Amino acid sequence: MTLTYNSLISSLQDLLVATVAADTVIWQGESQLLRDLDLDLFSANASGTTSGASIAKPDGFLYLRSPILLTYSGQKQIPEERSYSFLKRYWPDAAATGIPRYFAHASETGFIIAPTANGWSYSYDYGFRPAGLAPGTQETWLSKTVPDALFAACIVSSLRYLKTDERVDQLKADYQSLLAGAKMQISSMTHARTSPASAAAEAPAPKD
Amino acid sequence: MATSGTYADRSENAGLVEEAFERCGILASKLTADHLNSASRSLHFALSSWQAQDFASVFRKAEYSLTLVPNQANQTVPGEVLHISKMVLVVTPGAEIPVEPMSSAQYLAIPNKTATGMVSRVWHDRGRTPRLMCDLVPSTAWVLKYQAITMFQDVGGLANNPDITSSIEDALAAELAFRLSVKFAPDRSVGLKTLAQEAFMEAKRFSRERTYTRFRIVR
Repeated sequence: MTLTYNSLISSLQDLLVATVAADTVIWQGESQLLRDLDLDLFSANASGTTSGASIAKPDGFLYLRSPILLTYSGQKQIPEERSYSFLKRYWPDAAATGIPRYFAHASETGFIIAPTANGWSYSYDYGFRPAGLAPGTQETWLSKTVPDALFAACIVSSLRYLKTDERVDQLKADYQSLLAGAKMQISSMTHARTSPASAAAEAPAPKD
Repeated sequence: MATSGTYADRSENAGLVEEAFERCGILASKLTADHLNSASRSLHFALSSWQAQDFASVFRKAEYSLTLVPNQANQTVPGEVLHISKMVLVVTPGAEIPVEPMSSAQYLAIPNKTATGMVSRVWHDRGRTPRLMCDLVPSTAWVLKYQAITMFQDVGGLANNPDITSSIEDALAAELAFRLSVKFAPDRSVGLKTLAQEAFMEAKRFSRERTYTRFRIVR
């Protein structure tokens, strides 16, 4: 059985106070489930040419899914990610150019690279938030693959709008149970966490 | 796969700093400008310490040629010169005579410091303004050739290479890691200090001059 936008709306509207838009609850439920599943599945490629020290991010960019490949006259370079302040310290004169070694998130619309490398071709894969259920989108990957978890996520998201809340704890527990099952089902599609020191190696603040 | 066929891999200061921080358990992706500032200072002090331990003498030898200024007691020596090991005075092309080093006390003991003549002994005054003091004020613009141990070059920017050979990069990374651990990962300091000392000794052994050594028994 597939969960569709219409069937989900119908179920939710019976539970919700009239003033709350079911679309809002669905969007919140989808967001919650996407975060909890930590999927590494929805991706696209971005490519272009560097402008000074900048590489553009496309609309909807959520996270970097692959290394950034830079090429210039046959030379290939894969810059490593560092913090923004690291790059500014490493390459203080942005007007000077060189072979790019590092990149950092500069803003929601772009990366910065160092050394500055104008006119290099770039290519990378990025993750984005998939389109959600809507009147014109009756089914999505979530609604087809993990419909029970999506339904439970929407129910949990609707808790703050419920007419009565006697079953809040039970509904939350149901969601957690279904979430665990969904994670096992799609475990190969979630973000890899393979860095050996990633959990323990948060840099302590420098001491004066 | 074929081997690279190249020998150009050298660590920039930034790469050295990243390696050192990772030995402290801090991922390079978590480093900030403050970490880099701190590491640059530590790198400067690490190299300074190596100079004090005479490690520079292994691979920081350079030859200098100084044309002596006639009738002048003080002769200028570049600031990077730490220690002069060998000196010869070029009297005429092809005719060189050895010049001996002397101590400050020996120089002080010279009764007449304004007498002119051919230089045969020199005191290297290694104060804040380094200079060469000759036993006799040179009467001619002879050329003094000398072999010297020099300082490491300044750390410079993070995109610069450290002024070392590739064979001792690991020793410098180990030394820097120990120094950074004192500030950022004190629980690792003891272990990293041991590793730094071992790497230092390995580098020193590797950097020795490999020439024949002859021993003669004198009866």
